[in-house]
Amino acid sequence: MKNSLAEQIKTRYSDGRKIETDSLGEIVIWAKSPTDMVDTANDLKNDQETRYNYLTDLTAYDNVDGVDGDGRFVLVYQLYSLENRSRVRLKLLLREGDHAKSVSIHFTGANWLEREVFDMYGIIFDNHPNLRRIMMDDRFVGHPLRKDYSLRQRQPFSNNIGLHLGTNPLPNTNEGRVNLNDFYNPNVLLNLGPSHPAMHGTLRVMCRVNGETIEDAACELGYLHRAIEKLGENKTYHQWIVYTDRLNYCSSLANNVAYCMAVEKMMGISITERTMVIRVMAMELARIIDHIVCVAINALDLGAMTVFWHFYYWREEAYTMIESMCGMRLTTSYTRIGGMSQDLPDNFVARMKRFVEEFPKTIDEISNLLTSNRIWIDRTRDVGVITKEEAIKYSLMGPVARASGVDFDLRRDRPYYNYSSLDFDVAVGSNGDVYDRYLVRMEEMRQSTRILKQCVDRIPTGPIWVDDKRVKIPNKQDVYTKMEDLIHHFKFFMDGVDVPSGDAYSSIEAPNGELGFYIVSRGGPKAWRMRVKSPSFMLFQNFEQVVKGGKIPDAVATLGSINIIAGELDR
Amino acid sequence: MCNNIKIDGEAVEFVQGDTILQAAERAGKGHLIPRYCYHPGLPIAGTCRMCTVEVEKMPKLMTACSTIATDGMVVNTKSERVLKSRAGVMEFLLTNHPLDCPVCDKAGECELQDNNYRYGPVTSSFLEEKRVYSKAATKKLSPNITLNMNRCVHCERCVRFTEEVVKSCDLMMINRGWHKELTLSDEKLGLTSNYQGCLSDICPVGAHTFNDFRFKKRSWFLEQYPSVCDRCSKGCNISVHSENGVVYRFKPHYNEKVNGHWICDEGRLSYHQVMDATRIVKPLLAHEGSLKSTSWELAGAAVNYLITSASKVKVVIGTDATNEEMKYIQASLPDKFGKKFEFSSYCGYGEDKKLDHMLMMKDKTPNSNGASACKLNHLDGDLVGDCDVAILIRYGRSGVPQVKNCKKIIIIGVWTQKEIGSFGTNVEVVLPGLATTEKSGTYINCDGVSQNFSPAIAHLGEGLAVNSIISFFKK
Amino acid sequence: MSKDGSAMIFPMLLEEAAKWARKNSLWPMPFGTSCCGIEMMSTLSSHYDLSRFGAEVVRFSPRQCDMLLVAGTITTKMAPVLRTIYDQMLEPKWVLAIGACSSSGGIFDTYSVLQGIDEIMPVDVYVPGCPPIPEGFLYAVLHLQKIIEGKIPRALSNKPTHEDAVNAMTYKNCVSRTRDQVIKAGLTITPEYVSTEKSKQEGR
Repeated sequence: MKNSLAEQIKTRYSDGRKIETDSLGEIVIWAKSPTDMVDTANDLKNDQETRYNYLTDLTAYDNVDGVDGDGRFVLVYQLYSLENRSRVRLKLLLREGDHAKSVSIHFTGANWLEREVFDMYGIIFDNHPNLRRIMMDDRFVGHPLRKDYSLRQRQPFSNNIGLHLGTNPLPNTNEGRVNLNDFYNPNVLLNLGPSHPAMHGTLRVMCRVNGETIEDAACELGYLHRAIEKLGENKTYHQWIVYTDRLNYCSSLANNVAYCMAVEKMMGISITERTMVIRVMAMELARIIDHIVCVAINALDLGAMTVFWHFYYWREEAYTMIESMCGMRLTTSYTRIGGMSQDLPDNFVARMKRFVEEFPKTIDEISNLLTSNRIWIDRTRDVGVITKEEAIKYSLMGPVARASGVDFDLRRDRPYYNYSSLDFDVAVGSNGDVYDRYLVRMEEMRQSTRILKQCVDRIPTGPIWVDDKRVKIPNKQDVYTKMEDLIHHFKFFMDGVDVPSGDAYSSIEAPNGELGFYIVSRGGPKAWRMRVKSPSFMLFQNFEQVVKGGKIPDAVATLGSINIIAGELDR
Repeated sequence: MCNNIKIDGEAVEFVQGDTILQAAERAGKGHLIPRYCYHPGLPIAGTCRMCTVEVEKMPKLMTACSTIATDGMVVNTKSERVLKSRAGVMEFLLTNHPLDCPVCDKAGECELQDNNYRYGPVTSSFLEEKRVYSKAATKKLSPNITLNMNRCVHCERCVRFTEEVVKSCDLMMINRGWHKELTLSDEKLGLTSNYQGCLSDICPVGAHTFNDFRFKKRSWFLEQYPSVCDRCSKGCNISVHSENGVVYRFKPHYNEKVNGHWICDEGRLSYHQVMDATRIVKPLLAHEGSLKSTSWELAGAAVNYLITSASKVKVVIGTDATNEEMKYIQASLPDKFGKKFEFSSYCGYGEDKKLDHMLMMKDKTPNSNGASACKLNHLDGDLVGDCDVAILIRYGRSGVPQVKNCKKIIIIGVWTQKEIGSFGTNVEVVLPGLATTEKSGTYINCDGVSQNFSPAIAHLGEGLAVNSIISFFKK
Repeated sequence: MSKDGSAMIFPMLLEEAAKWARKNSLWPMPFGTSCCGIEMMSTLSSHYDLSRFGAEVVRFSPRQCDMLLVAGTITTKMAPVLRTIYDQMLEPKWVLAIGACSSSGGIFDTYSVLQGIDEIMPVDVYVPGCPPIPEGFLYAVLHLQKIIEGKIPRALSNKPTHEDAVNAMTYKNCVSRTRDQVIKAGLTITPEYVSTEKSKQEGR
């Protein structure tokens, strides 16, 4: 963070508020009251010097042991400034029964985030337009992420799916004059339900359609809520690596790297050169395969099946490479805290070189099929338009935001690992429709191949494990023959790695947007709060607005282009 | 005048005669000083050299467990010399330690593992062959304890225990140096004391393992909650280790006034009665000659009918019920049904007296003193007789009284099938209750110490607390 | 038909003919919710090609399908949806539980995940793996074909009817409680005699 910016914040916002730094040196501002929290966020957003106009994340954690002060919950805002490329965190202590104030008037993207906090913790937000449960179904009693709710505590669930979502989420009409029970009424409530033909996972969109035009839409999620964040509080840091695979399962390698990077930053461990380059290659490979899925499925939904079959050949090639790296095709769990689970195999460089040579040719072929294809352009031009202002308002990121004109790429703006020494361009669109998103993704695949080419030519030699007693996993040969190594291996995996207390937010540019991990640690081998900031969540929130006014087939095209992965959406 | 020593820069008060380690323990700083041979309940040895600390103005590193603390001492537990010494001790201890962690019971609660992880070297530079005790590699010292001699670190806690605490002198160390080995004093007798389980508690490694728990469960799966042992009137404090409502072992919980650091083997194994497969856990009702399982409402209605139609009801409460239960039963039953009850308590073991110099008592019920405190008279002559309905309430420890000339018997509490079968066909209703580890209450032990406890496990079955049971006695 | 065009006749039982027809034309109903769904897509695509075994027609309508491929985690919110789709399928129908999550809950033993879809419907073939590789999928479909043929008996040990499924979802017969619930519910002695929250041992 720039020193002058930090100084400005300290001088302007420190009256009555405590300002401190977290484990990574980022500024944390403790607000005085719920109103003060909302006002400070608004000030930070409108202030010409600081310009924190992006709400990265809004979450809470349980302070039942009172370590952070006198309050049951701590509400956390993560803000980001596009221009200054800096982050700030706002925190607020809430006692049991206190209401917080909703910040969704200033940041529209906070709407669903606050609903999730309400669902998981029971914190009520005043002035929230639609405070209902989001992940759990309406019959659920209690708030799962509280510390007194045990992990396996099941409850009776409903035995039929309600047609309406909660209490009247869709108003009867725009003007309130048409009677829905009228037989000749063209307004129909259509349920694009959780069992979806378009293979996008378990999403539900309730639409009120007039003919084929969607007049209003309400989205429902939570159909794949697997309590991954709660599991983060019950499993050790190593054990949780496997759950990170299952977040964005189309690009598991990127999730693994993001998580291990977050934990390593908290522990103050810097990885070796070789591991760094391997991780960068893994992230870019993950980006390529995720974009392949997105473009292929998008095309499949609109009828272009050839794209699907043709692109999938390279997906299988990538899978074979990944399988030789870490033993598993899809759910990789490749990284470990402080290193990787295994070193690269011998044939990797040759395979990767072939991939890098041949893959761009396929991108060109697909491009020939689609980019100037009349049908494709008709189906995707000016469909599902997200303007630049809307993208910033809803805090969107990733290829979707870039296609709308928001020039935001964490690899270039806040470089991590050796991205600052790599040569690549960032694709930014102008129109924000499905066509632009397709073009942005194709270009990103080309750029990722460029990065891979640069990396594979100069993979540094050396160890993949950092020489730190706290994290280094002894190699198997020693574990079976030497006593100390056996004990260390045993304690690592049975007790866990000890992470110092504090909190930190660390994110990467995942294929879908900004994937961040906010870890609150009270010392010990298990996290106190493991928050996953998922890009798909914000994208789906915007989806309700995007489809209004369009037709149902357009909604299908838009959904395909946004690339919602249900595992990441619901966690 | 304060007695103060400084440990790592912080002043710590101590009592005259304390060693540095005892002073640290008193101030809650015991975790700063690792140790193997020191145990608060055993005499001090000073043989393992793990607890060495640096004391100002003393040229060599001093063992904290045997150096008497004097006013003004400055102790450093984190200096480089100390860390090097600990790493060295760990390295030498592990040179001959077998790679047994995957199969050793102690893994997860092993002091050797913990200390090596914190203070020891990361890898081994030992190239020689490890010492192996061929005859004592796995040796059954008694039906209760198995010895894995290869894992022993020669701290001699077990030898001091059998010599000083239990005074049975079963164990001794023979030979010297590299060949030093733990053996029984008499091979034919084996271990003779009633406190053999405590050997597995005090052994810092997995050399002594308690056969009842051996290979049953890994220690990190176990949840620990405190409770009170109900195997005799001593009422030793225990820690119940369980997973999902199934108890795997009892371990002693330190209590200065009652049991110190130890529990006897009988109490340690008493969890088997709670987990007994033949324990009744559903309400039963007699129907066509045998007892059939039923619902609480039907059973309660049957009891209601029996009591209201009876003129004289004798209630015998075993002395293993808690004070609260005794008071509640005495108060609520006449409240509901009127004055037709005669209450008495039953023990079954006669006069209480000490069986040895440590903990064991003759009275095998936990709350005899509590029964007299709740003003329950002892059953006359150990016989229940001449009444319409007899209600027998007992929670698994007290004896079973004889019943004569009673038309119907109602049974409440923790009973096994065999015990109920001994009453013949007069038993009408059986209502399951909660054992000590499943309920909360108060016991008064043989020395008059009143002890509160709360549930340690959730009851697996349909048993209920006595107030819930009595609430079912309605039409 | 033989090569020269003359007709050949195979006498067989109608049952056998029906079985042969059914096993070679299984119409899958893909119910892919999470990661196993991606591997299902890989199986259906050209490299592993499920369609060479007849299971090509992926129609997404339960009324037209006879093989339900449940690939992915089924949460308690999704369970009624899955059961509805199962009920809408016409007999004969077969269910494949693909992956660890649909077989037994997988790595997610939490408050919102069904510990196996056999809580609410009978399952024919369980495929282990997280996710199972496409060869595993293909093995499962071939295994199912052998079941249809009759070479492997169809063992449905737990055959929940619709009523059982509803009971499972609404927890009619649920008894077990944890220790904290027991204390909270006051299922021990009444609080007026001793407070269960504050339990102090005298003499400590």
